[in-house]
Amino acid sequence: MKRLPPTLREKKRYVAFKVGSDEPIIKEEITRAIWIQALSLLGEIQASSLGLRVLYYSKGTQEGFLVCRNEDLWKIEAVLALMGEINEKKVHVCVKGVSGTIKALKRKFLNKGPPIIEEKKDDNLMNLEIIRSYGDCLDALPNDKELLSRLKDLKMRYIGLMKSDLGGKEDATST
Amino acid sequence: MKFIDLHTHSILSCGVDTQKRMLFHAKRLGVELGLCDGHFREIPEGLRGVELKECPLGIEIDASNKNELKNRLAKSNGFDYVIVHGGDERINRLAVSDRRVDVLAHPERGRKDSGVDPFIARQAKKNDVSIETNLRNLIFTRGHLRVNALKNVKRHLMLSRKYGFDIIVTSGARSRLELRSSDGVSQLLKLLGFDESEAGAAMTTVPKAILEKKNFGGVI
Repeated sequence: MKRLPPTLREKKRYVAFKVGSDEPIIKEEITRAIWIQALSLLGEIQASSLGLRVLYYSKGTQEGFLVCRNEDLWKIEAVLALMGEINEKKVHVCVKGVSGTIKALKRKFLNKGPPIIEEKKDDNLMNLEIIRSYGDCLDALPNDKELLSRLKDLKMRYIGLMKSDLGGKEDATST
Repeated sequence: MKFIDLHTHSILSCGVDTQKRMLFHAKRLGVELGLCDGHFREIPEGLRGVELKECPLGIEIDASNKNELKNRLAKSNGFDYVIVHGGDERINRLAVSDRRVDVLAHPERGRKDSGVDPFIARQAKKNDVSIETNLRNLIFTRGHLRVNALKNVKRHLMLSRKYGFDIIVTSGARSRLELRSSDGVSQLLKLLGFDESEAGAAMTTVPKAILEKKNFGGVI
């Protein structure tokens, strides 16, 4: 079939996003979740005019990008802001940036964060087990029963802290 | 417009992340944070954290009767802002009638209606108490529960236009994954029927005014 001339084509925007979660999310899960959220929030008629398609998603970095119509970009941002859970896993989808071309999008917004380093070590002072780190952030598994039940209520696996939190009380005077 | 989120919890109250970690993620999302950690609970000694000067600290009062509310309000001096858990009609009415209260949080909790009637709306305007729109109710609900939550937001907006009380938007976040960015929240409010000035007031102007009322000396 012959393509439409450029003047008749719909203007597109590419949206880079990052998924924050304690457990890895795969492309099928995120694609399905975005569609379900769009359909539930906007309805079939408005969702059909979004021109929404998830083009790329990397399970390793949990980053990806999608394409949508230029006019409906704000609706996509609202849909992504409302995403809270995928398959009983707590998630946070953050828009990293918007661009008119895939090339510029990749250059500006993708693969910019620190790598996730899996590490297992016990911190006896704080009664928790450090599971992984990225940059100054640490994710840890507490041994405290109340904190474990809070995590279960919130459908999360790890508590979050910073490396400077491990300094404990000595650090309090410096801030 | 910058989102100033005054209803968030760290590990010191009912959240799962330390204050520093919450502030780190908030900064990345372009959000100013107020931590509602006024009601400390028993947690491991090492995670007690530090008292942060750059971030406002509020208290959330969950009272079941008039006397309890009054007692806890009397002890709330020293916090940068005071939030009262709504839901019960008597508590909703008492909260908006007291000038020490800054925000009435989720007045619709556990109710079939929106929890705000013309009396509450007039008192909220008179005593400068803001009514909260908590995004948690929208993010973590589905189907008819989300429909009810959306209906309540629209009713609050309608009453706010009629009676002039302030609406404040919060995320109610208990973890780093529940924080929302300024852009996302502003587009969401647009979808809910807020015009640009109303969204700006709910996200920025009203929370800023609450902090200025108590002379918060931080960076906001």
